[in-house]
Amino acid sequence: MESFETAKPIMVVTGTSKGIGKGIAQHFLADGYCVAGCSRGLSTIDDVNYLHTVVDVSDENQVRSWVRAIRQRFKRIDILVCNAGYAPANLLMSMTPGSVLTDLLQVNIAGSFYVCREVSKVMMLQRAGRIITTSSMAVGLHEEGTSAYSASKSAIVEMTKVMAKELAPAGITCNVIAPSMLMTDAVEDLGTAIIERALSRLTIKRMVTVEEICNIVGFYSAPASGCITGQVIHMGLVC
Amino acid sequence: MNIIQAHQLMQDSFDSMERSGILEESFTIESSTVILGSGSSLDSLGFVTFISDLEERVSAETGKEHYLILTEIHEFNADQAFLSAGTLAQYIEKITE
Repeated sequence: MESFETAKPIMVVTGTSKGIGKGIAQHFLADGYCVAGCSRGLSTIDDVNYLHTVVDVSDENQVRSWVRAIRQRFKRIDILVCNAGYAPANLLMSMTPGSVLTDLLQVNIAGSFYVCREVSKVMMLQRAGRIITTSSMAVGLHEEGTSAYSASKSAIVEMTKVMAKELAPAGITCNVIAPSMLMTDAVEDLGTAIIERALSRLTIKRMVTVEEICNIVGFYSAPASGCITGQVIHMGLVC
Repeated sequence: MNIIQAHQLMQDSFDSMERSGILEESFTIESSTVILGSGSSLDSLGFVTFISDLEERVSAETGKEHYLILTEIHEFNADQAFLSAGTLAQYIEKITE
């Protein structure tokens, strides 16, 4: 793979084929970043500064190879936005198959763990970096029907806080974004009734926008945010 | 990759860490040098940095992707409570065969 060094900030984003991940990638590409993204499918972003790789983040070896390839190409990673996740339809715990739980643990927890672990190694070598993980409003709402999903997203928060303590000596900050609802294809599929019910539980009773999420990514990533680590920003919700 | 080459890569890695200020002083690696455990010059952060850097060097040297899996190293020499440079060099020789 051709390598080149650039003065542009290097951002890695997982789950860039659609939704929040795609929105974040496009926003920061427009801001002059180089973005390395991944998803299980082909790229949906056409930009000269965007590098896409087909990766299943729940596959440890694929993640290792991907992160190493990014390092070989860009020489460093400044920011990681660990966004890829799996959100199944809500089911009461008594109705939730074990396979749903297994998939959630594998994609949401193991996937985030592998990506954070491999990227943190690169950041440790450069003694700097910003890691941003993605939780969910589900953690604060304790909503019925989300036991498995909420557990996986709660684990992300705890993992990030521990990681923040481990990586602080290397100049790496680790923080969490917990978005409320964003209108994506997956959310649209839930139907009006479920969407309205979820919005009614929020403190700020509206959808968030990609720009609002990117504002938090930018805040966590800013040089002046170097002492902010282990924090969670809940969007639209008092926790 | 043979053991001597593996030792050299470890030395290169330590030298690089010293140049970048991660290690306070340089030293020469010998087979008995403790990498992990009592007597090591590396703290936990330094150890992870060393392993990450060494992985890159081994992969670059061999032209293949190699990963230094700590649990595999432990199984490779389970009788010792620490990891020496010699043990690590043997492990690198084994995975690059």
